[in-house]
Amino acid sequence: MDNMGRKGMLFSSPRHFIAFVVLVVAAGCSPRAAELTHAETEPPWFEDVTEKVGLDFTHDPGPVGPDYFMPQIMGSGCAFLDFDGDGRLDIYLIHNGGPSGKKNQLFHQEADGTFRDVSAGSGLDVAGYGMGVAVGDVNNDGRPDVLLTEYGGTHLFLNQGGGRFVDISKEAGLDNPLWATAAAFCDFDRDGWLDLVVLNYLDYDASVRCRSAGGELDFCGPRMFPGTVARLYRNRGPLPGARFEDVTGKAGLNSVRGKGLGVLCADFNGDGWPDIFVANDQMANHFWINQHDGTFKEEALLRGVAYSVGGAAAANMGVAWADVDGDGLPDLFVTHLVDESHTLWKQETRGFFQDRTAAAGLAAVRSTGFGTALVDFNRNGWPDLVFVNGGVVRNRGAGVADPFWMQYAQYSQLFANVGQGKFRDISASNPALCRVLNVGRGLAVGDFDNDGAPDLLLTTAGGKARLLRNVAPANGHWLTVRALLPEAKRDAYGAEVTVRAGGRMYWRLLNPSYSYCSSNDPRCHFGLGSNERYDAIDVLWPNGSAEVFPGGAADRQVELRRGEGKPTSFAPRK
Amino acid sequence: MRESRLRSHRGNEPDVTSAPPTSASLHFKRRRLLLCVVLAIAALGVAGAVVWWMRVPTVPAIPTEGLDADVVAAIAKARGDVAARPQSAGAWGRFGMVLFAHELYAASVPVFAAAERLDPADARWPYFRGLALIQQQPDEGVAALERAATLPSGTFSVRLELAEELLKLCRVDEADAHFRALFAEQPENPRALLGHGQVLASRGDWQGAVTVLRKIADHPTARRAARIALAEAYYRLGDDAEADRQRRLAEQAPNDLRWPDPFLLQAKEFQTGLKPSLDHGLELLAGGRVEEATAFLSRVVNDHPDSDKAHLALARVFIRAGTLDGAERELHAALQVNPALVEGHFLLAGTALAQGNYDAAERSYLRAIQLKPSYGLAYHNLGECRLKQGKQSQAAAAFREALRLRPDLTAAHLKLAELLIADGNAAEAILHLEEALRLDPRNDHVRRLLEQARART
Repeated sequence: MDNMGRKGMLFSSPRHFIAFVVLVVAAGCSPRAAELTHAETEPPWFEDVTEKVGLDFTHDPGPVGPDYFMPQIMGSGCAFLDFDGDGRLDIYLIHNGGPSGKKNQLFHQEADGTFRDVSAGSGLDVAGYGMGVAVGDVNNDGRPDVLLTEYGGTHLFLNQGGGRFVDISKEAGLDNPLWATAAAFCDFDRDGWLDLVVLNYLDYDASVRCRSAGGELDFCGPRMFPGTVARLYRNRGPLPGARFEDVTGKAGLNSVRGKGLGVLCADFNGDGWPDIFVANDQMANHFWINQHDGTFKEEALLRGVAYSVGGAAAANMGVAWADVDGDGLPDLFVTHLVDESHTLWKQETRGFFQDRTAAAGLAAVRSTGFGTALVDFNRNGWPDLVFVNGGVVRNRGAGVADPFWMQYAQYSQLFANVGQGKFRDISASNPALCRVLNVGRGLAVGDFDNDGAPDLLLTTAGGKARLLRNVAPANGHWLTVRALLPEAKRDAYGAEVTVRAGGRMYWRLLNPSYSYCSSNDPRCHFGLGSNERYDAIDVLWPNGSAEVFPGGAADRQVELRRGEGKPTSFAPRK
Repeated sequence: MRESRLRSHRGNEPDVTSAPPTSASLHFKRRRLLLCVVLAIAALGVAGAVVWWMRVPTVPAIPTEGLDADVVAAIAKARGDVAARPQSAGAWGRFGMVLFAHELYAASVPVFAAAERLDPADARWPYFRGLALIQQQPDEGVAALERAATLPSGTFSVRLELAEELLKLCRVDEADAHFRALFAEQPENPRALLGHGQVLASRGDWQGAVTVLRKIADHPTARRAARIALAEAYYRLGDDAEADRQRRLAEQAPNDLRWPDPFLLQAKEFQTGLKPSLDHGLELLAGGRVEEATAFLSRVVNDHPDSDKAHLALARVFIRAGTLDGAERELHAALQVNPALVEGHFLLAGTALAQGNYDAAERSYLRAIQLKPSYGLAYHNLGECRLKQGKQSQAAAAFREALRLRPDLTAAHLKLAELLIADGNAAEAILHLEEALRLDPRNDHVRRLLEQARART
């Protein structure tokens, strides 16, 4: 019942019109209206620079019609990546129109900040039912490779340099014919080579037609179909190209089926080994805890993240991860359906979570959320919250004469963290982001103009991709940290970076795979508030070693290499 | 300000201490008085008309494009009743329930509001309005539910629903106050105890939660949710074994039954159209009421002969009842309506397999696979079918494909392992048996076979 049924109900007679006018006048005199007016006068945090930078992408969801082919309503994600290593983020955007639809597009950021379509001949210009993208250097050659997930397939494209990619899925041993959605690279066995987890959504049957209770044809919901098994691929290391072994069974991931849409790899229980969180649609989430021997144990229920408060399974979709209240323990945010609250699970003791959505001021927020991020956009030292929204069933009241995708459109939402993990809705003052009706899906965060302020890339089903530049009033100083593994020549996926400044500790995870089917800037961005300098940077590297790096001036990007810091001892943080 | 202006205006009236009035001036004064009275009456009339005009709600038009004809007719009838009796709260309420029953929640909100204005003592109208609102406007929805709960006609279930909605909204303290009041009234009520236990868990009072939740861990309206919360509570208390046991029990438990809600049952009576009928028929089947399901779905098929879903639903009932010829008839009818219906081919294959018609079964499985290439279970069953036909190598190929698509299929691991052992490939068989044992650690057959295979190598 998205977008309360308005059509045919408002102004069906002159007296309704008069009543409406009276209400509007009355509302205009209310304190609430005054607050809204105040909110609208706050300076916006984002401006739409899509056209200005020449990013021209309109998502192809395939032909819409009576089939209501379910993958159409679920795609597609997006990626920020620096594929040529020039220090400027490039963009990869995917279509969902099927093998005869539009080909995915790769945009290179030029020196002047504009984007040039370099898809043709790149190897990434493929067509399919594109869902998600993950980015990681699978062969440790210093060049980020691209994993593309589709309804019916998973493709690994090896970056060969010079803007050329080659599909090595088959020879690499990646064989996943299911409906793949989100994926993430992480070194789960800590051998220095990026392994891969690929979520599969559900065992879809395209011959099933679904209707509302009133009999109206629409897209099916996830409850109509059984779940599937997520796949885990172990990188076999220094072989030509890249070789993966499907260890789904060995690792135990085939013991439970899910309907995965959101994935996050991080050390959730503080033992120094990466675990895997899977957000399942209309099912209990999965929380795969690394047993250090190549196997995982599912512990979502025991650790409090399987269900929201009340014990009901929610439509879990996008995933974000950050320490929202500065207690040193990162927290988990998952977007849900319009008739559920999104959920903020606070980590209250290491590895254990409690639903604290209401305390954060988010319980009454309603939307069908997909891509999401917890990032300090205004650099005041507290991660803010953004999510893009779009319905999965037709908005009640939408007419068949309306443009098809408008029948599913919703507004995105932005919340400022006002400190200690309390959020305030500032959507009204951010029209470029939050006052554009669209079917929001993918969301990626990245500082594309390297000004220390994280920007947003968002995608919509059947609509334009948009690039939103961060123009938030600079409330504070900042630091961007790139953490590298010199021997592997790549970003240290899985590293935990903590900046110490002004008596506070600012924590970040280095892993670009979060949100919904999207890959983000791999650099860690820190808002430092009033701290013009930082005292030190602690890095817990993905192999479990720890180093401390000296402090310095803020408002710049620093590169940290493993082995160049001062070793410190790592104690499991249980 | 207005009052003070009027006073100053009066100050300009003629001075009563001056010369007495003439008859002409008296006549003029009477006419003016009369005019004032007429104007006042007219103003009152207009004001009354405006008040009446604003109070009588307009019957809203409901967009019905794309809805079932039965549903459209039900809406039209209910709307017509309201138009005929706009002062009837019952007519408005029934109209609202028709909309609510077909999930037209937003449209139902102003309709229930109108019913509530006309009969403020009936708890049903704020209750339904609250339920319709709560998903998208939770604060307004809770306010309406709170109003319903305070009315004398607000039943226990209304207050329970309010408490549970508050808990879902993480308004824990408010929810707990309601749960406590409810179980003070009904000390053994499982849903009230469940809510209270969940509140304790959310506050980190794990021992308190265990004490409360254990009381209701076997009640059909609370057992699954209770065991979910118990598993977490025991784990937090350090009792891993009990946590694991509760988790297994939660996983095995069916969904908790809804607490009986007389108001919702009233709304359900207004459901019409194909989808609610199919849902109801399949609910009967899920509840094991096969005969009732057969009779009910036969009527649905009769009313909707062009619905592949109706035929498919009835076929499922026949399969459950073991009436394979009836199932085949309905499956063929479904496939006549929709030849690409994957589940139709899959179930048809199953009925053929059960009757020993292996060639027909294989054809139908292959057709299902052709239509849905990722259908792992169809590959598995195809393997079974080929085993029956003595086509060992083709069966092994089918099991391999099944496992490629569904690595969680224990039976496919086992069957493939048996074929590999028969083929002398014990090494590969061991891998599949190990996998099968990982998936089903209590399967003694797999364990024995694994031991035998290991002994051979």
